[in-house]
Amino acid sequence: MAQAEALLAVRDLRVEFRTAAGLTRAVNGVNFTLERGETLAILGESGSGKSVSAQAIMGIVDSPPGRIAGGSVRLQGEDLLQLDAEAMRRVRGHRIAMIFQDAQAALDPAFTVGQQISETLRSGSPLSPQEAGERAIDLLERVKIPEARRRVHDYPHQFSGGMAQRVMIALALALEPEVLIADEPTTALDVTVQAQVMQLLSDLQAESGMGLILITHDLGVVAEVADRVAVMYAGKVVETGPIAALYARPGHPYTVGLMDSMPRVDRQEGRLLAIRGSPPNLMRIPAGCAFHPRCALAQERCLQETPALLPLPDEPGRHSACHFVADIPGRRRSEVSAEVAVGGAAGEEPLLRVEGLVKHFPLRSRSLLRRSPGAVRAVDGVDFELYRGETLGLVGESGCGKSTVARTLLRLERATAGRAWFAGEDLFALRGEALRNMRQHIQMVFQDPYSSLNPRMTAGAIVSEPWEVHEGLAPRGEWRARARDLLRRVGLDPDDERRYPHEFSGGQRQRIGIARALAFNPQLIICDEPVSALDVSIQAQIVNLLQDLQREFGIAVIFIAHDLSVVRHISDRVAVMYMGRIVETGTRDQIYNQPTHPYTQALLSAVPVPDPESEARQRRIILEGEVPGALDPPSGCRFRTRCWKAEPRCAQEVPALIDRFGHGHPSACHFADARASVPVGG
Amino acid sequence: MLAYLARRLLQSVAVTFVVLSLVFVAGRILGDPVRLVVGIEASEERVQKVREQLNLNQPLGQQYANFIGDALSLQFGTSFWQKVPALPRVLERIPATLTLTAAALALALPLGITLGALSALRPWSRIDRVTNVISLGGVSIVEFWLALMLILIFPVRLGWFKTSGYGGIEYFVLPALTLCYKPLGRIAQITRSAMLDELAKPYVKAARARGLAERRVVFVHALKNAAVPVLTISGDELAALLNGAIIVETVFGWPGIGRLTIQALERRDLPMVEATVFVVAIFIIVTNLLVDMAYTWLNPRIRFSAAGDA
Repeated sequence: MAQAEALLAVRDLRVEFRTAAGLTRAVNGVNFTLERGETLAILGESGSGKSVSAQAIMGIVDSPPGRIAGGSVRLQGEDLLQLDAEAMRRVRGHRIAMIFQDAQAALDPAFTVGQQISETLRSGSPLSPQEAGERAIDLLERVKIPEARRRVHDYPHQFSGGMAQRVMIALALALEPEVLIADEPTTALDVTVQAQVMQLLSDLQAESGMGLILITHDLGVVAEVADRVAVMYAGKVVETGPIAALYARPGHPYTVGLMDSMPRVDRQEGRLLAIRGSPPNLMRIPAGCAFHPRCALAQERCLQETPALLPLPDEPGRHSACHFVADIPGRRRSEVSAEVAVGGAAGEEPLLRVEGLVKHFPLRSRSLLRRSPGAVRAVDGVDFELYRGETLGLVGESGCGKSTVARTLLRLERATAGRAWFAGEDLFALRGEALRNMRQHIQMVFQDPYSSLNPRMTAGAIVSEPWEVHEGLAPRGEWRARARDLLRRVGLDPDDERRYPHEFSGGQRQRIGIARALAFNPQLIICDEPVSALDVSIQAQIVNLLQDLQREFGIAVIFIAHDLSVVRHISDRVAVMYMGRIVETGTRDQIYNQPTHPYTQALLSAVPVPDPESEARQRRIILEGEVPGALDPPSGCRFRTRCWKAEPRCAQEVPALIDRFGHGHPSACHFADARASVPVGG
Repeated sequence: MLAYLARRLLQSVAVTFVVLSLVFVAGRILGDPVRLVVGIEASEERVQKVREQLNLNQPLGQQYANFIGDALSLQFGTSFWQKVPALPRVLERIPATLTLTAAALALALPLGITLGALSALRPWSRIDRVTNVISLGGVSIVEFWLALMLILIFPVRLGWFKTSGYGGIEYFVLPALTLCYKPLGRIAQITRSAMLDELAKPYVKAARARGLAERRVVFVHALKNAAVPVLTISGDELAALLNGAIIVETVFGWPGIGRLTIQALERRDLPMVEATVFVVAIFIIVTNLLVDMAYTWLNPRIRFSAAGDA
C-alpha cells in the first residue's frame, strides 16, 4: 500500500476535550499523509482543529482534559499512538519537531538560548557541554542569526519576534528531525520579517529533505510554499490536493468561500463575498456536513449524511468531502474595480488636516539626579489630509507609529508637537466642554472586540450609552428603538439588545463596537486594526459592513492596518508609515500599482499572494534585517539601513515627502522610482 | 547589575534610618522612661538625677541627634534592667534565634516546594487534597495553640522531647516544628499556584515538544520560573519567622532574641528594646537584599532592565 510508504500517515485521528461545560470534539476524524521533502499546508480558521491535530501527532495534548479518542499516526509505518511515554518522548524533537506561533513565549525566559539549545542537543546524544555549546553556535548561524557567537548567551527577551522564531527553528532542527510541524510560524510577525522566515524555512527544508507540515490560516502563505494542502473545518479535513489544482478549482464550498473572502494585494476586486454565519461551536457540531448551515449548495441530504473524504474523479491526488462536488462553482468574484472616492477636488476643505504631528515618549530616568536617557520617537513629523466621506488607509509594520497617530488625534495622548484641524477647529487646543463635544464627532473602533466592550452591559446598553453621555444626541424616549435599529443595521438581530458581550462571537462583538461608534453620529471613525483579530471568513463580513455603512452615512474613515490586502480593498487613499514618518502617500491605485518608495515596494512585494501561479514571487524583494530601535533612529532617511538603493546622501539628508513626479503622489525618497518596476500589481 | 545592587543598598540604609527614627519616637510616647527605671515612689530629686544620668533632660531634638549618633556607632546605652550594655546582650541571643529560624526554614522550604509542585502536577488528586489541608492548617493555626498542642502530645503524653529550655536536640525539635508550620503552608500554596501558572505556558509545551524528559520540563524549566513568587513569599516568611519566634521562644523558654524582646518590653527597658528592634530590622533588611539578588539570578529580565540604566 502506498500509505505504508508515506513518511507520516494520519488516519481517522480523533481528539476530545472533556470539560465541565461538556465534551468538545476538537478533532473529528482527520486524514492526511506527508512524504519526504514535501510541504503540506493544513489550512483552517480558529477552532478548525489544526493545532490540536498537530499536538496529537506530537503527543503533547494536555491530558486531562484532552484525550486521543481514536485513529492512528504512522511515522514510517510505526503507530506513534501505541508508543509508551518514554518511547514517544524519544520521537519528539528527535524525529518530529515543532515550532510555535509566538516564539518568544515558547522559549523559557529564565535560560539563555544557548542553554536551551545545548540542553536539547544533549537530550539526544552524549555530547560534552563544550561540544553542545559549539553546535548551538553552528545552529544559530544556520538560521542566520547575526553574531551568533555572542548572541548564544542572550536570553529570549533580548531577541525580536523574528529572531526569536529563528531561535525556535534552530531548536527544532537541533536533532535533525524527519518531520517539522510549523504551527502558524509567521502569524505574529510583520510581513517583511515573515518573508525572511518563510524563505529560511524553505531553504532549510530543501537542504535537509525533511517533511514540513505548515499550519496556517493564510491562503497567501500556503500558495507561497506548499506542495499540497489539506483544508480543515470543524475538526475534519474537507478537501485535500496539490496546490495548483486546488487553487485553480477548489473542490469544496468552504474552500471557495475562503478564497472569495480574502482580499488580494495584487488585484483590485469588487465586493468581498463573505461566507455567511460563523464557524460552529465544537460542542454542538451540526449534524451531517458540519458546513451545511453556511453553505449555499446545502440540501436535505447534507443535514443527514456526513460526506466522506473521497477521491475526485479525473483529478489525481485530490479528495473532497462534499455530496455535491460536481456542482461547486469556480471562484465567483468579479474583478471590477470599485470606484475610488478621492476628495479634495474643487477646493473642498479637508475634514481633518494634520501638520507636523510629533509624539515622543520620554523614557523615565531611574535616578532623580540623572537626566532622562532619551525618548521613543513613536511619531516624528506626520502630515496628511482627510476629506469627507473618504477612507484613508494608514499602513506600516508594528511599531511604525500608526496607532499612536490615532491615539493622539483622539486626544488620548498629548501631541509633543504639531497641529491638527478638524472641521476647521484646532483639535489640540480644545478644552473642557468643547473637547467633549468634539469627541462625539471622532469615534474609534478597536482591534480587540473582547476587551473593548464592558462585559457587564447588554448590547443595547452599550449602544445607547453615547446618548446618555452626550445629551441632545437622541431623546430618551427613542433610545430603545434607535438601539434596535442600529443593531439591525450592523447585521445583528434587534432582539440581541438584551444579550451580554460574552454571548456573542468575535465578529458579532466587532459589529457591536461599530454600532456604538455609529450611535454618536460621527463625522470620522478611526478603525485601529478592526479585523486583524478575526478569522478570514468573518473579516470579509466586517469589511463589507464598514464599506456599506460608510457609503450610507458618508463618514470619513481612517483605517489603520498592517494587512496590505485589506487596506487595498477598503481605502481610497493610502499613507505608508515607517518609523514614525509617512514615506509615501497617494491614491490606492498609485500606491499599489506604482509604488515609488523602496519601502512600499518591498512591503507590497513581501505580501504572500494566494495564487500559486503568480509570477511576482520570482522577483520578490526580501529586505535584510529588521526595523531599527525607535530610541535612536538612523540619521537621514530612516529606511536607509535596510534599503538596497541607499547611498551616502541618504545618511546625511532627510528626504522630504514631496510630489516628485507631479502626479499628486508624494514620496520621501531621494531615489524615488516612478516606473512600475516592482513585482506587484496586476 | 552592580548599579542595581548599589541602589538597593542605598535604599536599605534609608530604611534603617526610618526604622531607627520610629524606634526613637515609640520609646518617647510610651511613658516617662525615668519613672520606669526608678519606680513610682522615688523622690523627685532622684528622678531628676537619673534623668540627667541618662541624658533624658535634654531637648528632644538633641536626644534624637544623640540617639542616631549612638546607633550609628552601635551604642544603645546601658540596659535599665540588666545594667549592662544593651547591644552585646542582644547579640548574645542571636545564635539561638538563628538556629531556630534556620531550622524552620530549612524544613519549610523544601517540603513546601515539593508538596506545592506535586499538587500542581496532579490538580485535585489525593496528594493535592492532602497538601491543601496541610497548607490551610499552616496559614490558619496560631503558633501558641500549636505549641501547646505539641507539648501536650509529645512531652506530656508520650514523654518525648522537653517542654522547655535550651540545650540538645530534645529541646530543639518542638519549637522548630511549631515555627516551620506557617511558612510551610504559605510556601506550598504559593508554589502550587505559581507552578499551575507556569505549566500552562507555551514554553512548557514547547519544551515537551523538543523531547526533554518530563522531570526536566517540570523541575528545571517550570520550577525555575515559578521560583520568583516563591522566593518573594519566602523573604516575607523569614521576617514573619522572627515574629513567630517571639511567641515560640516564650512558650518553650528558648533564650533567643524574641524572648528577650518580650522581657525588655515588659520592663520598659528602652535601650534594650531599641537594640533588639535595630538588630531585627537589620536582619530583615539583609534578607530582603539577598532576596533581591536572587531575583536577578532567577529572572534575567530584572537583571537587564536594571543594567540598562547603569
